[in-house]
Amino acid sequence: MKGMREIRNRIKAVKSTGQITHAMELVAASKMKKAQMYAEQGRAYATLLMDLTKSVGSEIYRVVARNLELGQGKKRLVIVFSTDKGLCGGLNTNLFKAISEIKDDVDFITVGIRAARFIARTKRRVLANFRISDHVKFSETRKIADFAMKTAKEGGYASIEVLYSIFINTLKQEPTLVKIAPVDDMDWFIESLKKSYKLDVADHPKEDRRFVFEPSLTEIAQNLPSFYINQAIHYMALDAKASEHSARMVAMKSASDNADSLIQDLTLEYNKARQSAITTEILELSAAANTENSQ
Amino acid sequence: MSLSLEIVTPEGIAWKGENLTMVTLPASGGEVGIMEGHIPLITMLDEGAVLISKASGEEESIAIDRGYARCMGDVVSVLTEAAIDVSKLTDEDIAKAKEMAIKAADAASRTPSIDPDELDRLHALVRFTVAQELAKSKKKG
Repeated sequence: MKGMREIRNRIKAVKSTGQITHAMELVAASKMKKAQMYAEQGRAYATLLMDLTKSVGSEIYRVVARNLELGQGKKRLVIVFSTDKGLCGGLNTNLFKAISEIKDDVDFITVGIRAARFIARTKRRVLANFRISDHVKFSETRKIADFAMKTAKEGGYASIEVLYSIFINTLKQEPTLVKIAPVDDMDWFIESLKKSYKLDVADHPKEDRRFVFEPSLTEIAQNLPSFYINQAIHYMALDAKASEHSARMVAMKSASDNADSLIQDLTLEYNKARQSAITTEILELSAAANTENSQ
Repeated sequence: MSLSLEIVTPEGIAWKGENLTMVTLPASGGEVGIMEGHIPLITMLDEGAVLISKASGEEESIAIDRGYARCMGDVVSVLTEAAIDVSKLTDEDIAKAKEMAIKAADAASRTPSIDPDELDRLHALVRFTVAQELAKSKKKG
């Protein structure tokens, strides 16, 4: 059995770690509440915007490709939303796994230092790294969107994609890769958003008549794509933040719980050690008394 | 099949209803009235009033900011930055809000160091109060 002092020191250390993780849990919990609220509020809007952009139907591929001046070929531009700080459980690890699965000719724009480091370590190209505060301001996400659109245009990228941890609920966040431009492959994503968020937006019956555009397709084409990219990136950032704070809250909660149970075990061990020390002492005393008596 | 409408803002779904006879939208090229069986339409919206005529004969007027609308299969979806039901507001409320918004935007546009996004936001506020006035006057007339 270990020495009593050693156990006592360990209990002290675990206790102070537990206090820290508990404090972090509380901080993350309050941030999480806000982040989740913002993410949930914006969902109907973001989904409908994607749906609307998608509705421009057969026109949209041409329209978005032309207005964002996307290139041909296979070069892809992927924006990755990770976190700046660690201690958020498996969130980043899962994200990195998803990054490793992207094999083609890809360049990355990262948000949050963790992904930038990982991608640099795996010897792939990071074009820029951005940071987003906990409040996720439009001025921050607009910079990312502007940079992505400019890069896609100048670098001849064929698509702009976003990899982020989609926020499903406090316990569940899933890394998801979505192509946001061109929008020819968005149906599954819109549907899955509607389903996993249980959005109350109206379903519309199938429509095979062609759309009429007011004031004109060109005018809408000039405004809608960049508006849509800006908004999509903003709402994905909100989701990523909600995921981050939720994951951190859960990680810190389980760390605090672990600390508590560790303290219990250690206290038990400590008490045993103390008990056995006392027993030994009594034994020694009585042995000494016995020898004295017999002499 | 009857006409239904949803107005969605970044704050959530602002208005949603079914069984409407007509929806009038402030499209950028002039007002557009939509009734059942309308051809699929995507339009840009100016700030202004969405007028809703219900089958029961009631009318509602919702002030909206700029945005987009889609009519597809008798579902009209309006996507806008802000929307408010003007029947809950009095003329004085709106006038006061407008004055404040204009003052704030004025002050901001004179500050050279202002963040352009912030300025955009303030201008949007002014726009939105104008839309509220419009919606209110439509409701009366």
